Amino acid sequence: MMKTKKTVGIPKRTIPYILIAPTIFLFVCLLVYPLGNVFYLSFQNRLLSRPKLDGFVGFLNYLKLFTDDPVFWEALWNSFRWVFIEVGLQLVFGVSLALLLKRKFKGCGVFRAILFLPWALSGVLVSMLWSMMYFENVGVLNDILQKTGIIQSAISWTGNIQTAFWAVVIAELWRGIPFFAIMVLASLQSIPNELYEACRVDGGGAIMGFVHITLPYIKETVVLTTLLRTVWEFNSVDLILNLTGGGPIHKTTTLAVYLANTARRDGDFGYGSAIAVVSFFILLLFAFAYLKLSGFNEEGDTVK
Amino acid sequence: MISLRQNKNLKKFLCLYLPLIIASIWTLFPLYWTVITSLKTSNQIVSKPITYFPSPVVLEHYAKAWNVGGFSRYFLNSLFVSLVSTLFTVVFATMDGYAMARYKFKGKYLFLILLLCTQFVPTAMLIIPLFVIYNKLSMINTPWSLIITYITFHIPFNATLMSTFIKGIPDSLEEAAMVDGCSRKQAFAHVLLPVLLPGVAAISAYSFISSWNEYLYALMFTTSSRNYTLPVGLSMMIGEYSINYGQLTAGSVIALCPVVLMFMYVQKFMVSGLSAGAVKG
Amino acid sequence: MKRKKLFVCCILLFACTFAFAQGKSEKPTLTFWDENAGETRTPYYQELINRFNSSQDRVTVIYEGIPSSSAKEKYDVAIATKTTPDIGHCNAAWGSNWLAQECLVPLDNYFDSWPESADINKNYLTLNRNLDSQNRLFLITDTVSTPLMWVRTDLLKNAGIGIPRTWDEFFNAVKVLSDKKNGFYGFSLRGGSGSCVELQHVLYAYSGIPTYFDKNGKCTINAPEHVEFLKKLVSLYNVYTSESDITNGYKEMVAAFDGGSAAMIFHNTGSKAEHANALKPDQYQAVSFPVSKQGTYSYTAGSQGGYCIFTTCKYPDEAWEFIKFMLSEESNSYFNEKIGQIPMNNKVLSENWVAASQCTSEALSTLANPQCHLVEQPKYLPEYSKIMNTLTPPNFQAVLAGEMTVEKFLDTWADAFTEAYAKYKTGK
Repeated sequence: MMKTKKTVGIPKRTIPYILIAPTIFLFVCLLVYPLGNVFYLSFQNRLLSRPKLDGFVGFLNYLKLFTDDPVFWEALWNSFRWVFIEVGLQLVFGVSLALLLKRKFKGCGVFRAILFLPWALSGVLVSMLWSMMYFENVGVLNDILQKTGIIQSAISWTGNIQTAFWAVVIAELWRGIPFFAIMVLASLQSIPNELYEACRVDGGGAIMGFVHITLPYIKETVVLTTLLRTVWEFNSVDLILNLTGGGPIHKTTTLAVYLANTARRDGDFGYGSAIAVVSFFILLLFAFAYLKLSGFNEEGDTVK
Repeated sequence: MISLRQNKNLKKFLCLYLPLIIASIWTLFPLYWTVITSLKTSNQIVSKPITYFPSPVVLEHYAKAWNVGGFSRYFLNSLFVSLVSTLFTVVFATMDGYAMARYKFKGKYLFLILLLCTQFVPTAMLIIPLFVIYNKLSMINTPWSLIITYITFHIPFNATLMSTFIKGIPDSLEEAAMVDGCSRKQAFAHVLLPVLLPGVAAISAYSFISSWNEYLYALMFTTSSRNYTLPVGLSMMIGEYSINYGQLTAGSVIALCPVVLMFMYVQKFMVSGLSAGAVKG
Repeated sequence: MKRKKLFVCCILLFACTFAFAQGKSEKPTLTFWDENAGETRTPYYQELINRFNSSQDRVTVIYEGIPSSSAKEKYDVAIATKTTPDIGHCNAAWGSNWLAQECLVPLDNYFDSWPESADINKNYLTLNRNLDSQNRLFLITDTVSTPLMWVRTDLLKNAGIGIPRTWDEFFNAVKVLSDKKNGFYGFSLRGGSGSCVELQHVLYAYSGIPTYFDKNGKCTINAPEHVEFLKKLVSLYNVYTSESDITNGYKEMVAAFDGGSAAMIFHNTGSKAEHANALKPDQYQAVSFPVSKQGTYSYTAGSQGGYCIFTTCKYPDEAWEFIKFMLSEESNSYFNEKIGQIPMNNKVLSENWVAASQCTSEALSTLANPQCHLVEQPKYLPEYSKIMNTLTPPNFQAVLAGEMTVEKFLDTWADAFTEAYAKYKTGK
């Protein structure tokens, strides 16, 4: 006989609030002040090198940013380019890989382990590693390409104005694809195999299976992973800083790199915070638009 | 005349194995480069002509990284911080994900936006205020400052991901269980969780790796080197005037081992078709 | 019940002993931060600190190493949150910021009453005093890496040319040693981070102009001699140097040198350990910059690291004891010999290892030359970091890429400093 539980006095309404309470608690304790601080500093002059000049300056930082700073606009454009290309490519390749690895086949464990490794490596190493491989004259990439005759003379991957951006894109891609692959793979596991069987019996091919069965199941995961990955790539700096430093001539300076250089290298926290606030609103707007467009919130809210 | 079976095998090779092999080469080459760099003598590492296979093979970089670099200590610190923060992150993220997936409540959309907002500001801008908070709580230079930070910053992504995983599992499973007399908690633990395992595996992996490789906060919130974690230890090999590629790669390989082990264990749960049969009947 | 009482008593007794033991405190401890931790420095600092700790009973010093890539940021956070260590070793380029933030203890009283203070290199003391508007001493330099050229003697020998001793010989050597098709170049420029800090060393070495600002307060970086030299240097780019030089940071430049694809580089004595690791002694040599147009030798201060005491230190007297110890002849000699840099305790200069270390004795012989003068970089200007790290490097890259003229580049540089200098002179 099943132990009948006495009705616990918790009303159904409050259960979700109880569930999210610890998270809210952490956020309130740890994030309200720091985030507020960034907003506050954006209205201040805060230079580490001249503390005597600290003070409220109103919208001056923003004014300077929008009207007197050519690097800002270039960085903004670079950010959009970077994010769009990076996330787009990671998505395509990541999902493809996940689809390939979905089923159990001979050697699937080995492949999964291999393909997951770039994500597991320390960022400190990945930057150094790609920097080493891209060296013009003692780097292995040029060596291989020259030995196989694909190129005649060594290319300066991180120095050439045409190739610098793509060199960094490829390095980040190497690191980013496994991430998508793993996340999509996990969500693919919840699709019952019978559905594919049924589809095949009905005469549908692999593409039909993908469009009608796979896609709806993984849609939400893909949408959210893409969104969060976009945010992450927008703010990602370590690889760029290590490979090109934002150069040559700002060609690889994204907004995040510009922010890092302003605040961390130059000690200009006021101006840097203004850039951070602008980044914040760009991402916020993007998140709203993205969620609305992908119809995220209209999906089956299971009501109890 | 190619038999049907041969045709099928060829198709399997072209569509499955070939792309995977290409992907593996793309993935493995830099890793191969890492490993052989760690085995080369220092003067072979950055030199022309480029050596594709270390000769002689030396293990001194590994020994040095472990002994002189303080790695043995950093390793334990990283392990503690990563395991604890992963545990809490997974628990809280699952709770949040469940709430968002199975309930309609006021402020749900706001909660989602709040989760996302925390990711919008670059972490470097938050160092000083967070430091001030932890300092007041005397948590600076303890692993707890890192653990709590990692939990707070990793929850948003994992929670939203969990909610999508849970949404992907029809609630008819739990409903059926509750009709049979289970409480909601029991339904969750005995019916949903087993099907959710791939998702739990994925976010455990994500949390662990993110904590294991996090550098900036690990450096800023520890003031004595005996509390450093592995990424900080690795960055010590990059000096102002010298970069010890050999030790850096050797140290990174050492740092990679627990992660690989963890993933090999966790990926077992990412096996297809677990839900098969659960819905039927 | 009795057992319980006994148990509680034992616990209390233990707790009291423990508390008492804590109360009877050990010696006070001082934390020391090293801004360039790693195997090239840490073991030697630790050896010296052990020696200090065992030589006296007043205080224990604890070593904390910070990775150089984030050292400035870590110090910045510590200063902003008032959690600075007791003693710090730092880069003088950060000095003017720290002085502006008033987080350091003035060392004049300590230094002046130290009998051995006369042994410390006066030039660098002056530079450090100049960081402060009232000429107080906050930072004492113990080690310096002076700018010079590194030359691959084996590659020069193969090409049949000698070590360049004049600027014309240098430019000629670069051309002779370059074989672009096969990826060998005579020279590697630094176009990435730190490019202009290095550039000013060589500009003043060429022109022989003795001061950064002329008597009217105008910056001399755009003097005609500098324009002439820079034009020659820039014309080497991508013809006799590799294309990737435009984003070359330190590691790429040294990789090119150690890997043999660049026969000469401009750097400083600091990279000696790296070359020694990769090459054999007969393959490379340190060479001072050739004589200038005016027949003099000039050197700019280079990278000077030094000791300072933070205001959060509760035991400044003991902290000074430690600094004194590190600056003493024995410690200064040990440290600089091991890390391959120039010692600041003059007594050390006569030691055997100095003469035996090629790059040290090369740098010192130039410094000792009566025709050699010091060009002071304006590190005391709050804008120094911003101009040298943010403004000028991208402009230099534009010059290399042909998008900006040399004249415009140097004029912009000069104007920025002239303005900053004027602001500084009128009392900030």
